[in-house]
Amino acid sequence: MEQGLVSEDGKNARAVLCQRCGCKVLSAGVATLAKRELLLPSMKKTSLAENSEQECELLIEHWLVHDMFTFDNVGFSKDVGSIKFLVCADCEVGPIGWHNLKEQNSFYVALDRVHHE
Amino acid sequence: MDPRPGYQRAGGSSNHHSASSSPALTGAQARRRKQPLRPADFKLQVIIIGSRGVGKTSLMERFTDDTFCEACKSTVGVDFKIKTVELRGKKIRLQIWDTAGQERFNSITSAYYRSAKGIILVYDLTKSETFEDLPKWMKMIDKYASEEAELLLVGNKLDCEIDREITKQQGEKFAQQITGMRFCEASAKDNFNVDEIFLKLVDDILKKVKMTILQFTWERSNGSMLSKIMTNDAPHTKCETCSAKCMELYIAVCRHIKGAVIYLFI
Repeated sequence: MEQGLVSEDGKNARAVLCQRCGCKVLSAGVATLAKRELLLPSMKKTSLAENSEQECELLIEHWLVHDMFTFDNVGFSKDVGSIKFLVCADCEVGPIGWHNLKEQNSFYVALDRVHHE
Repeated sequence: MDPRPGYQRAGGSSNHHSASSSPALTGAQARRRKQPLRPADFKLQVIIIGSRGVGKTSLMERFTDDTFCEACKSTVGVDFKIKTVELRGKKIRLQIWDTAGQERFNSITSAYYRSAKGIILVYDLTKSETFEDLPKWMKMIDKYASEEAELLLVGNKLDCEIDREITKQQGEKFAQQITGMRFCEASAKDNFNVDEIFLKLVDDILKKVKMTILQFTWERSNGSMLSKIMTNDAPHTKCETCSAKCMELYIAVCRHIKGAVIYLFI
């Protein structure tokens, strides 16, 4: 993991931004680092991919918040089973994160899918 | 068009003083307030409703996105967005719901209505049938929405002036029949009026929220603190005397208010 991302108390030392448009997803110091194996559909998608099976990527490191209003800006996808994927609120690039409707108070943003200020 | 003369919503938005509007706090909510300062001053839920094809989704997109890129959109589709805006120096967290595609599922949408502080009702000014649907939407609002919710009627697709079927006057007339309903025409396509629509709605909601706080603090303090609280416009001013306890403002008004921390939890 990149140095200086996590503060001493396990929070995000820097603000979390959209990789593509720079829209602020989380302010600094509001999310905790959580390790959990989550499958997120690939961000890169060609026109071919629509016909083939959606490629997924296993991601382990995430910023975890417990209240959706902690986000500065974020979009929630429609339900995919019991999952809502998180996308950038501005350019809608994603998925950048994961929320299971069965775990009401957990919202994950994958470190690999975002930039840090 | 609603045929009833002088049609009014039960408990119009001009009435800020109904006793039921003060936020009743439970023990759990009071405890929650003792968490560290949240980055947002206000949290508001706004829903966008209207008949199919009037442009609800484009209104949401235009507000939340000035750099729209079709290619990058997720295929699943966005359900709702959390957006932070700043208005008069305050950070406001908006939760914006677009009800597109859910017009038929009353049981699902009723939950959206109940929690909405702002409702944007959209019609397409080039399709008279979407205007004729408005009374149907008003019935849903009356049935499910909070009486306190701010209402805004939007005639969308102003960019299609040539195909206009509903005049601006017709829209105005409809809005006038409903207490507290605002009206404007907009174009999500060229972003005309869209930012203004949302900010105006937020502004109206905030004014109402302030009234609710005043009313609440009045009740809890027997009125003695009211004048001081009224001058305290900034929601996060610190109590100079007892900063540790000022979070209890909602439970019992702090005795040394020269300015107190007012935590809004809507």
